[in-house]
Amino acid sequence: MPQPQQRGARRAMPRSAAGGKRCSALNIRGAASMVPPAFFTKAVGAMALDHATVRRIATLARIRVEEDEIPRLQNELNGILGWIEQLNEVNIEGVEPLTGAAHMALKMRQDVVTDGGYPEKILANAPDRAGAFFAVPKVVE
Amino acid sequence: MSLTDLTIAQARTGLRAREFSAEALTLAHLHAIEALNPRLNAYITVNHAQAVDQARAADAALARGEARVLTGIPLAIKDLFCTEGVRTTAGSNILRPFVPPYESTVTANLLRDGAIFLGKTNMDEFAMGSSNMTSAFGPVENPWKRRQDTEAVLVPGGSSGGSAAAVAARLAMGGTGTDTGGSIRQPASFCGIVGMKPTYGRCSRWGVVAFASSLDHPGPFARTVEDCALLLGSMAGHDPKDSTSANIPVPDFAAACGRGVKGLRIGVPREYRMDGMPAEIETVWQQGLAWLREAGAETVDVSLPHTKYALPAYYIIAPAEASSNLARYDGVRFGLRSDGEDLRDLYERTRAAGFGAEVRRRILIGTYVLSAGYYDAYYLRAQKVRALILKDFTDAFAHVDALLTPTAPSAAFAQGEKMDDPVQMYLNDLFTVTADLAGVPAISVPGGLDANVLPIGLQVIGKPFDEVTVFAVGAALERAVGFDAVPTLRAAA
Repeated sequence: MPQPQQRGARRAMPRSAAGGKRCSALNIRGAASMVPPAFFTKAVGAMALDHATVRRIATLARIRVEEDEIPRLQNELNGILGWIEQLNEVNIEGVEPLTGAAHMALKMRQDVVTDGGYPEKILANAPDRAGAFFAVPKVVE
Repeated sequence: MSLTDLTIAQARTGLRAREFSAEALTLAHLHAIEALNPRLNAYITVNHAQAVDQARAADAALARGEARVLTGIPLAIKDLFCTEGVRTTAGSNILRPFVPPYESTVTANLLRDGAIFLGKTNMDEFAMGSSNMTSAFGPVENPWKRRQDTEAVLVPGGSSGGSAAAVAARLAMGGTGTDTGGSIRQPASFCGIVGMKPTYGRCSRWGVVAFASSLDHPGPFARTVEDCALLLGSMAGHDPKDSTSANIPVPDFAAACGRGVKGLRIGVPREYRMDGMPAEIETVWQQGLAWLREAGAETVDVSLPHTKYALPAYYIIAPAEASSNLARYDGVRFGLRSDGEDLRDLYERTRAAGFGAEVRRRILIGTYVLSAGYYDAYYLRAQKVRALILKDFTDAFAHVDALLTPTAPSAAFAQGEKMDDPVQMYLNDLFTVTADLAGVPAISVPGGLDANVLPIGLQVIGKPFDEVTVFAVGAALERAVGFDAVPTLRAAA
């Protein structure tokens, strides 16, 4: 049930861009309560994520993405994000966010160590080890 | 009747009366797996030797008169539950070599109660999927066949497709699954069996490979409502190792199955319809409501106005949590490693090689919606919509005791269908995802067959921690439906 792109949809600049730096566009409607009005610009097309943004997300997620995979990913991610945009129809004024499904208060516990002392078990699945340590490529020159 | 056709309740009686041994029961299932699993691919790993050892121990316990609730009952365990010393893959290449040094709480509870583990079942990678097509270990074939097109290979649903197919094909008496957006109930519906997602907090998540922690619900599969109740009674219970585990008593779920529905008010949510939904689903739903009225319930129209927003909210919240949970797969401490020039290159190559396309897609979506500047517009908004979805249920449950809906907007589809557009696949979970977001219990029970003689499930949704009413309504429905159809591919067929 993808939502058709509404005329007058506005581009909300991410708050991290408040310093006036260039950043990629987020195409979302109804974000007025969340972003200072000064950052709205004119309507943008359905492609919210550009090539550079997909590359940046992949870097943040530490997933290697080859250059020729990006157009397809861009298309898929924009399809999903476009469909998700229908959430902007919902009036969320005054609604407290729900962080979880637990019908009870989260429990407290003593801040004490209750487990451990078996390095062999912990290291049993290590792809590489050196003695009682996990081994990785050299980090510091 | 073949041993593999027995229900868990019947097998319990037979084992106690020494009509057959746990070893014979287990071997009957292992032989069925040998015969059918090469085709169905329901199990990733079969524990032949361990299962036989467990069965002999069960026979010894039975001989001593020390049988517990599931002593000698052979089960299928979704490969998302960590099992000590038995490889646990989550359907992913990144965990292909992983052998857990510990047992999940839910499987430890089942072992405590005498259950036998036949093996670990196939699933969508990291439980992300509705067809089992995203598994790194190949797709699962649904044992049901279309009457008009017997050549078509249908999906068992997902993500717990292996457990559902195994139980339907009599390759296990029951099984475990996990439900994050519908991953127990939708495969139960597609495979013509019963699947139960309890209240969030009822079953511990400790030792279950995490997908979206605020949405992951372990639960049982079986061929009857009573069998599901027996399994859930063993799986459930407070666990200090899971901070969201509920410290409240576990009622006798099985006893609730005989309770009936006289005097209960059953809500009929008007939003549980979709454009293009087959007419047979509406017919099965109306028939189910008529049967509940005949059994003494009153049916009441209700509205859950935010239903259509549940799936888009889920596709922010679940990927956001997944991107965080799956950050642990870095090629350093366990699982796959792809060597790189430096540590960062090692991370990136490992994760590119280890995660399949759907998992990568969801990690990227999750990373994006949590990234600086977008958090409020996506994640916070989705959490507010989630609050409204819970409020829809709370408001409805002020007037009714339970809800009856279809489980899924279609019967099982063929492998390869709905693969071109991720959103088309996501729509499978339209009717199940609401109960995950709200954390309320829900069961899928076979409601009838479509024109292709494929099963269609009906879903009963209940109030938080009121599984007993869900089981009571589910069992009443089961008695009225009298579902006795069996899949084409099954043991002893």
